[in-house]
Amino acid sequence: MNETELATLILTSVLGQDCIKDVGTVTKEQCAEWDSVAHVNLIAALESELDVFMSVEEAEQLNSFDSITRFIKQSNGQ
Amino acid sequence: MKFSEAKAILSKAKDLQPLSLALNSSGETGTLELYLEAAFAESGYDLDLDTAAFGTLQQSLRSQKTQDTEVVIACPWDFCQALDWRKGIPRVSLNEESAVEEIQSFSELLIQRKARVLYLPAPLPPVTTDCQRTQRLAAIIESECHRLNATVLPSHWFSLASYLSAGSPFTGKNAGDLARKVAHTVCHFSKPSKLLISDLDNVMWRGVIGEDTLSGIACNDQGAGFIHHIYQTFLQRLKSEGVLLAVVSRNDMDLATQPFSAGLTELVQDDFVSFSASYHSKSGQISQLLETLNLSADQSVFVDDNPLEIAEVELGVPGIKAVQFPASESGFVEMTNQLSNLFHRPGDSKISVEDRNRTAYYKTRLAELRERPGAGADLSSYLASLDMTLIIHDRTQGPHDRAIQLINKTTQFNINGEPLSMASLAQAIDKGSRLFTASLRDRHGEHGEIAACVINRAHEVTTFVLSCRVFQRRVEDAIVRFLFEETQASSLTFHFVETERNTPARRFLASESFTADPASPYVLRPNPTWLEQDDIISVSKSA
Repeated sequence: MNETELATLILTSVLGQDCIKDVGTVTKEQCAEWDSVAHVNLIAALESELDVFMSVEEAEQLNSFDSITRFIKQSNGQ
Repeated sequence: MKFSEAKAILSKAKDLQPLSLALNSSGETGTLELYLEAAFAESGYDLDLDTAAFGTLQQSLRSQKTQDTEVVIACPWDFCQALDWRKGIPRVSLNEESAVEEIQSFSELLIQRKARVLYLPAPLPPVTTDCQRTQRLAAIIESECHRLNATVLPSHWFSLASYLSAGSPFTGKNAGDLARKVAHTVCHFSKPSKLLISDLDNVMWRGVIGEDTLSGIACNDQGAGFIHHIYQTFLQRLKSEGVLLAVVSRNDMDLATQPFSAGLTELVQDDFVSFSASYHSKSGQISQLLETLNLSADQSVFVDDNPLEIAEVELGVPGIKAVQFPASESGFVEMTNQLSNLFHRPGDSKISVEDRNRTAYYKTRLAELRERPGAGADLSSYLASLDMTLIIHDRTQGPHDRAIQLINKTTQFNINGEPLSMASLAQAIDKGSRLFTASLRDRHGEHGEIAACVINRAHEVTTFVLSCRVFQRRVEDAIVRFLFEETQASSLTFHFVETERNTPARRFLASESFTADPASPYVLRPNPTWLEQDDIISVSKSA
């Protein structure tokens, strides 16, 4: 699974498939379902999948599809 | 368990039984839900989860009705609120005496609830003037957890970042591990088990009685057999506490009982409520035993050293708890702890006369038990997952040592039990016979050279032996299929002679894989469907 596929899987699972029209452009700001609870679930999913710990600061920066795919890429050492 | 793995488990899960679970924790548990559902699905349950709202653990434990299946995930601050990082550090150093009282009071509450407890030993904030006193509080809480029979989780599963930002004290990284711990706690510790069914070879003693004979096995209090001796003493204690013991072994009955009647073992045959040794499937034998004893699978524990037998029993007897006996001392402590937990008794319960005599009561019930063949579970998908590779070696030109050793040692899968010397093998080879051996490896590692056969020019298999370590893996099928391919013969003649021990070889040759010549029962032609079943083991010939 590449970083785009993984980001898509996690975001659609956490936010709900129906909530996102175009997952590739989704941001925390414009998505009502991306609330604090969803954000915690998102971070937990990324930590579990990538076997990493995230600081509060790092977690706060992950607020769009793009930032998440970048994070996955970095964590995978690419 | 990673996020994607949890999703995959849930997408494949089917035929799940409903299970309601009350999960109480002062921390936020929302991030665990997906993993919990997946972990319970792995154990065959469709989870209906009821969780307490964030920060209301004490309240919900005091107000809620006791639930049938209740798990509490506790942190240090559940025992003593001043230890909560989210509250900051108290201005005044914590009074140790009142802290201990608070810890014990919460502990009593958990005891009253009879909840299963998992404890996350998060580091404590510096609430006292010296750090040793704070550590003393940590030790008191851990000691209370042991009194509660709680599962103590690894401390690195705590995440201060996650706790401060989201109220969830658990790392996302270990969410899957935590969920599996919860599922294991519920599924395996729900009620103490009542019956322990044990294998014999390499479990009750070190060695294989059918191959190593009485003098070659060990179960005394020294050397290679030491852990088997300890295992037997542990079984004796379980029996004295009312646990029923049974034996299910793939063996001949007279062989299986030899070490007991010869006085090599701590246990005696009379200690077992049932002693079953045959070549029928273990799952079939166990199902029949449970039916006769009127016990359910989830009240039973099966101990075996062979992962294949464990898979067969888990498939054929759903709900049974299977424990693998380790190959060496390194896994022994963990196994005994696992068994101890499965047969745990509440600390205050007394051992009654009935407990002590339970074996005798049940033996009466078993008087009508008759051996009957069990179909056994279909292991095809498990076998395929082992990624087995069989390498056939043409040893006609040598070396012959391992083949000779195997041929003369193997009694169970041996088509005629005839000993073979180096000289007589050389003579047969001079007349055109070929010697093949086979070594096996799978995803767990190498099994070494485990089979040998001698076939002459007339396509007569004069010798064919297979180590009992690899029974049930269809290795014998793969070897005979190879012989058909190698010789291009339409039939093979097996020089079969029935011996006291070679039931497994007789059963194989009489199986539906072959059609026997009406005039000669051991001139066998392969059945077309059997010839096509070659996807379980990958076979290659060594250079």
